[in-house]
Amino acid sequence: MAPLEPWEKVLVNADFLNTIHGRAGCIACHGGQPSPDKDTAHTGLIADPSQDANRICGACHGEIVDGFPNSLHASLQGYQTIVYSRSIPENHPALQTAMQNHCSSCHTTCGDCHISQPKSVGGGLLNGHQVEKTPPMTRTCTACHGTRVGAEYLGKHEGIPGDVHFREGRMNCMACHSGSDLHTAEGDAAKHRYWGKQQPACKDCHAQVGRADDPISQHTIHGDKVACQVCHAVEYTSCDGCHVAISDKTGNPFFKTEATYLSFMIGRNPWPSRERPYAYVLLRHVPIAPTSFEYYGQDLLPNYNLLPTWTYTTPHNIQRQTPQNRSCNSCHGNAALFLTLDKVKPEELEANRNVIVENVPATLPFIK
Amino acid sequence: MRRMLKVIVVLGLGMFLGACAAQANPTPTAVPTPTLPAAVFTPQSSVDYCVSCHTDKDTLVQTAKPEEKAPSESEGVG
Repeated sequence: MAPLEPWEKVLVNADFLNTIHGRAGCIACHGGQPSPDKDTAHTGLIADPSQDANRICGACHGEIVDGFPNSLHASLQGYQTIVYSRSIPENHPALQTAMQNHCSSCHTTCGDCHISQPKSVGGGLLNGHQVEKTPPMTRTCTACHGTRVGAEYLGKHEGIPGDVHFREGRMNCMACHSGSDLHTAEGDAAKHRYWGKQQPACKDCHAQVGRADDPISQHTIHGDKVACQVCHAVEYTSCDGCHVAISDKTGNPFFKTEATYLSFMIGRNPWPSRERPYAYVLLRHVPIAPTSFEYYGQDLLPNYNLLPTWTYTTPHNIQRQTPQNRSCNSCHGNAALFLTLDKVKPEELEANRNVIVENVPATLPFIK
Repeated sequence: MRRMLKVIVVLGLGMFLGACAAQANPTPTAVPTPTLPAAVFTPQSSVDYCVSCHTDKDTLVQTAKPEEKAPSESEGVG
């Protein structure tokens, strides 16, 4: 996605003025002053009025805005849940500062999806200020979720096809992730995206899977023991060693990651629940390190080992046929696919002891 | 004495009947209703300066400040 020119970011389409949002008048939402002089006109200007969603968007869309603070897009609570879980309360203020500096740019407002490109990718009006009911996928969703989800879904990794839902179905993100799922979160899902209901669940569309009339017996055999992605995803991105700091030269926050690579690891489910009862799920390596936030203080993650560094993942590169589902013994007995002890760094063994597969499912006799 | 009693009864009856008499309704007075201005969508002045500038590509090209972005020191994939 090419960055927009500065003028292009703020060019309003005259058609917008005839829409219900346009007829409200610029100053009603953006503030500023009625003046032909640019600087005077911009005095008190609010570039993104939807930062105050209750006042602006909530006037008409109250039923959506009311639940939005619980949305992970708004709260970024998932980061805090995980980082704090590896720490202790005394360290929370320092970690809060770190997350404010390095994570908050991912915070999303209504306007970041429905009117503009997200600020984290430079901002700019999507379509002359028209309010897009369904945000355009590549300019909003994968503009932020591009490194992993976007690259996987669109097939940007060489030699790895894009997700079948995109290749064959031309489905955009909203085809599965409904507005109501994106606008709020309920219960445990408001703390971490893998702690609540599966939204979406594959079975929402593929209802026949595992039922008596399912013609694919492997679905019934594996049942709820194996997450769908274990058989139907292919290689996906993992990262190692992210460290954050503030630049001495510019005062801007920056990060450094030690490595990014494609991986495929079947492991034990770190968070089994009624909603995700699987024994086996896919795991990706997340870039947390004991010293990730060292710039903000010593030993800020003393409980680093409480959570795995190989963690639950749901890759967005689903295929009907994959190397591991070609036959029973493509997976059974194939230790290369499983997160076994030898594949975990010695310093991360303790953190991952709950997800390491000690006994790879045995080869099935008499079956190719 | 009997006359005195008659006078008291007549006076009391008169006061009672006077209290029961119908109250006269006050005549309503016409109050002028203020005329509300017709609802008009904003433009807060006759010229909408915001719109005239932000819908004119040439004006924006001339007036938009170039963005000075410090080179990022981040390394690796975010």
